[in-house]
Amino acid sequence: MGLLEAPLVEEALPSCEFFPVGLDRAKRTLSFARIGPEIYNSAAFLVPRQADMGKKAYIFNIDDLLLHARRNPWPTARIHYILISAFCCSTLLARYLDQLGTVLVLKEPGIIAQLGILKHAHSDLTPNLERSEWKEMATLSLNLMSRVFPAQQSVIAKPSDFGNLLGEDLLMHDLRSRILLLSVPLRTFILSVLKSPRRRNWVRGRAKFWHKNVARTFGLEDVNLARMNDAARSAYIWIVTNCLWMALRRHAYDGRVLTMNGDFISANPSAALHTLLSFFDIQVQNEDIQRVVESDASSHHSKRPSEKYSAEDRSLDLSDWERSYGREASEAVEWARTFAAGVGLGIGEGPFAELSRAHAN
Amino acid sequence: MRTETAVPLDQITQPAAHARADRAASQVFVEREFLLDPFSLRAQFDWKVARKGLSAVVQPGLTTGGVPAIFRSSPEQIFTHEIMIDLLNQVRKAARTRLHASHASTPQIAAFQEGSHTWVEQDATVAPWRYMYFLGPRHGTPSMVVTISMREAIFKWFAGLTRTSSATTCVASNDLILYRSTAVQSLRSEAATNILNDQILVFSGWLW
Repeated sequence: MGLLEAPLVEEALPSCEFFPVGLDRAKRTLSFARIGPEIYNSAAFLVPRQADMGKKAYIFNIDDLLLHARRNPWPTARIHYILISAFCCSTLLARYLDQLGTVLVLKEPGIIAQLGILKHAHSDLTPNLERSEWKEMATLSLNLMSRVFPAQQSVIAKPSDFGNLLGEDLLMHDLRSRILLLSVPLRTFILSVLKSPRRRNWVRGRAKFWHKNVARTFGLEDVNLARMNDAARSAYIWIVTNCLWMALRRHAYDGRVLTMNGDFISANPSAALHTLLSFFDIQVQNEDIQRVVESDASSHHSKRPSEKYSAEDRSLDLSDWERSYGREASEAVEWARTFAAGVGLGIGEGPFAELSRAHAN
Repeated sequence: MRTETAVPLDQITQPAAHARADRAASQVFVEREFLLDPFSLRAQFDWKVARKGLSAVVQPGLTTGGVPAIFRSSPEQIFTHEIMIDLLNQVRKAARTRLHASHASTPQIAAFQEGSHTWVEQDATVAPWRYMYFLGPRHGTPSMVVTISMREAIFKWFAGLTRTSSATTCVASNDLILYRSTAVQSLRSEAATNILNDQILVFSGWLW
C-alpha cells in the first residue's frame, strides 16, 4: 500500500469504511484502509497483505485521533469476540455469521493481534507510562472495531490466536461484550498442522514467539524447541493457548465466557449457531439460521470459497491425516500430557485442557 | 536546546501584578533552538511555495483592515509525513520533560504578514496545554514578540471571578513555547518584510 495524505480525522473516525490496519508505536501513527462491506464479507483475514484493501493507506497521528475521540465520542455497537486455538473451524463459523447480515464480522483483524503483541513489547518509556499508553491505544482501537454499517446492530470480532493475549482486557473494555473460546481436541489440532507444510511453518514461528514472550509467565519456558518436532511444537502451542485462557475460564466473568468444540461447528452448524447467538444475545429467526446453514458456506472451503468442501470432506480428511501422521501425533500427545501436568493442566479427549483444582479456584 | 520561562511584562509595577505576572510566566516555557535541523522543515515549505505558488499552500485567514494578516494551512498540504512525525516526536519529548504530557496533536500552521495579531485559539478542547513552534527563513533571524495572557480564578471556590495576567517573551526562529491552553496569545511580528515565505511560520497544536 502506498502512503497518501489522510482525509479529515472527523471524516474517518466515525465511519467503519475506514478500517484500522496498522499501529506504529514509535511514530505514534495509526493507518487505515478504506473498505466497503463487500470486503469485510469476502476477506478471510482483514489484513492488507491477505485481502484487497485498496492501494491507499490513510495515516493519522494517534494523538489527533485520541483528541477527536475525547471531544466527539462516536456511538459504539455491542462487540463480542471469538478467541481461537487456530485450526478450529473458526473461519467457517465466521462465514456463517457473515451470512446473517445483521452482524458485522471482523475476521482476524490485524490490529487486535498487534495490540496483543505490543502488550508484551517494551519501549524506552517507563513501565507505568508504557502501560497507560498501551491502554489508551487499546481503547481507541477497540472502539474503532465497534463501528457498524447502518443495517447492522452488533460486531463479532474473531482475532487470530494473538488475540488470546487480550482476553480479560476485552471483557474490561466493554461490559456488554462476551467471549467464545473455540478450540479442538489436542490430537485434532496436531493432525491439522501436520497435514500442511504452510501450517508446519506457522507452528515453528508461533512456538518461538510464545516461548520468548509468554512462556515464563506460565512456567512453560522449560522446553528446547530446537529439539522438538512439529507435532510436539503444535502441542506446545495448544498448551500455551490453554494457559492464556485459564483466567477467563476460571472466573467465567458472570457467564460472559462460553467454551465450544470447533468440531461441533462442522458437525452440527445449526445447533452451534443457535447456542452462540443466544449466548451473544443476538436475536435471529430459525429461518435465518436455516438459510445460513444451507448457504455456500456449508459446501465450500471457508478460506478458499471457490473450492467445494463439506463436513463429510473434512471428516474424510481427518481420517487420512490420522493414517499418515497418527503415530507422530500420539507421541506428541503423550509428551504434552507429562509437560502440561507440570503446570497443573490435564489433557483428555476434550477440546480444552482440564484445569486442576488449584486453577479452578 | 535551552529552556527558559517567559519574562514578565516590564510595565507592571504593582507587587500584586508582579506576582500575577510571575505566576503567568511560570506557566509559559520557552525552548530555544528546539530542532537540531530546522532548515529541512523550512526547505519543504519554500520548495512547495516555489513549486505550487503561495495560494495553493496557504489560505488567507484573519484580516486586518481588509488585508489578509494571517495565512493558515494544514501540514499535510506542505510537509512530508515523516518530517511531521519527527517534529511531533520532538515536541512530545519536550512536553514530557516539562509538563509530564506525552501527547501532541498535529499542528495547524499560520504565517503572518506584519503588525500585531491577537490569535485566539480557545475551544472546548480537553487538552490542558498548547505548543507553538516558530520557524523562520534560513537566512536572517526574524523575531516575534509573543504575549500570553492567562485568566485565573481569584478565589478557588468561586470560578466565576477571574483576572488576567500576562507574560511576554521574544521568540526567534526555531523556538518552541509551551503554555496553558486556556491562555490567549498575541503575536507581534518584528520582521520588516512583507514577503510571506521570508517570515515566521507558526506551528500550533495541543498537548496533554
